[in-house]
Amino acid sequence: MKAYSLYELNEYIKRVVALNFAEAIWIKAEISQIRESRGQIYMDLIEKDEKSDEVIAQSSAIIWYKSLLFIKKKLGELADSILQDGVEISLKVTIAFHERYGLKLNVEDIDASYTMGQLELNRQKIISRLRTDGFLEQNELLPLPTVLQNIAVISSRTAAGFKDFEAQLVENSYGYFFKATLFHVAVQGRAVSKEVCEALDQIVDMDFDAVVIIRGGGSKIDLSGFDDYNIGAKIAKVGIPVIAGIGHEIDNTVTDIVAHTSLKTPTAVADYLIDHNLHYESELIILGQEIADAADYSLRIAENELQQHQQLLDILPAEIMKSELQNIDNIKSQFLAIAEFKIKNLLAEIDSSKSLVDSMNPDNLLKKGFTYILKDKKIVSLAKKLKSEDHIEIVFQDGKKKATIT
Amino acid sequence: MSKKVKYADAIIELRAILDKIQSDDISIDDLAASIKKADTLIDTCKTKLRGIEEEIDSIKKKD
Repeated sequence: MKAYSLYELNEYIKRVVALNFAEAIWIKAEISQIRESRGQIYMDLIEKDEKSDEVIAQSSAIIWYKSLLFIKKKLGELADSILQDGVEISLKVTIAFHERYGLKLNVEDIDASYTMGQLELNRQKIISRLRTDGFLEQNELLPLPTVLQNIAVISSRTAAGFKDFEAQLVENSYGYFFKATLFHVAVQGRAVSKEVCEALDQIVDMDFDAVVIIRGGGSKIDLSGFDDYNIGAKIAKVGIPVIAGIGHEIDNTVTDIVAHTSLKTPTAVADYLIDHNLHYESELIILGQEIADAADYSLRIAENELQQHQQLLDILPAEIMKSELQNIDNIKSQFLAIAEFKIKNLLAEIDSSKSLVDSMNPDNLLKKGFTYILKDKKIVSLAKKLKSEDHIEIVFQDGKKKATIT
Repeated sequence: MSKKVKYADAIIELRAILDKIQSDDISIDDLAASIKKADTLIDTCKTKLRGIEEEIDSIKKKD
């Protein structure tokens, strides 16, 4: 039996491959491990089973310096975003088999639109799954605390977005105080999901007014870490309102969609927090003003009443005096009438008494022919008081006559 | 938690004070007390919003 040497075998495979893959072909795969070395990029391409997520194929690939220059020129900043762990990629490769190093795929070109399409597809899938599980609006339904002051910030401490946010918050012109606690996470690449979820797990047991998830601008691929089912589910269950500010104006990641409030940029999130508290303080001031106005009004009414009472008091004594004087007048005239009546009666009585007295006057009796006898200048009215030889005087109306009793 | 409740409570309390003043059955003595209460509440919340309490606390801790 003839045995081939290993070199002979590999040399044979090399020829078979070269023969069958004379031209470059387009393939799609996921980048699993990638590193740049001396201007060349080495990476593993994998394919996973859609259901089990198990790796069912794997190959090494190289982007040589010249191809890399071409790709970077063609894709611009997007190249760095695409050439990362976990990114679904469509690439044009030539296939070569080396006797010593085995099968190698040499990358000549990358189709960015495929990656973008895959991202969007993935994003849509996650959204629909979150919707099915009832997670899409759960955080949105949480009531926002009256004042947002104690904030959990999920971001990267080195990210420009975080610095913008922090500066905006600290330098707010109203002087509001915020306590922002940073939970440092990766904001790009595969680690985003795991680290953001871990941060949310920590936060769930802490006493925060709100959770802020922020990241500065980047390509759609850069932000794609936030298009994640697990993050979405965690946000739905965290029980604290989540305010997201990821990327730029047009970006709308899954995290944005599941969040209580989604804002365009980290700076916008800071403004939102400040505005929220400003709104509260305005309400406070308006209520204070309304209370002051109402109190003023009450006071004015009370003052008015007081004035009316005062005026009433000013008028009242005069009125009372008038009516009392009237009373006195009435009593006086009644009293006078009674007095007059009594005086009249008295005068009448006096008149009748006078005629009686007149009739009793001795002079008048003498004129009528009566006389009286005096003995020792005293009137004698009884006969037995006179004895014989008594000297008496008889008084007539015109004079006296002496006589002696016999 | 207590902090959140306090801010919201202040608004509720201020509304109650306003209602009370706007209804006619309030005495002048009550009025003065109510205004004082409202002023205190507003001042407390404004101070709290600016974290002046927290600043004082942290200064105390340093001492």
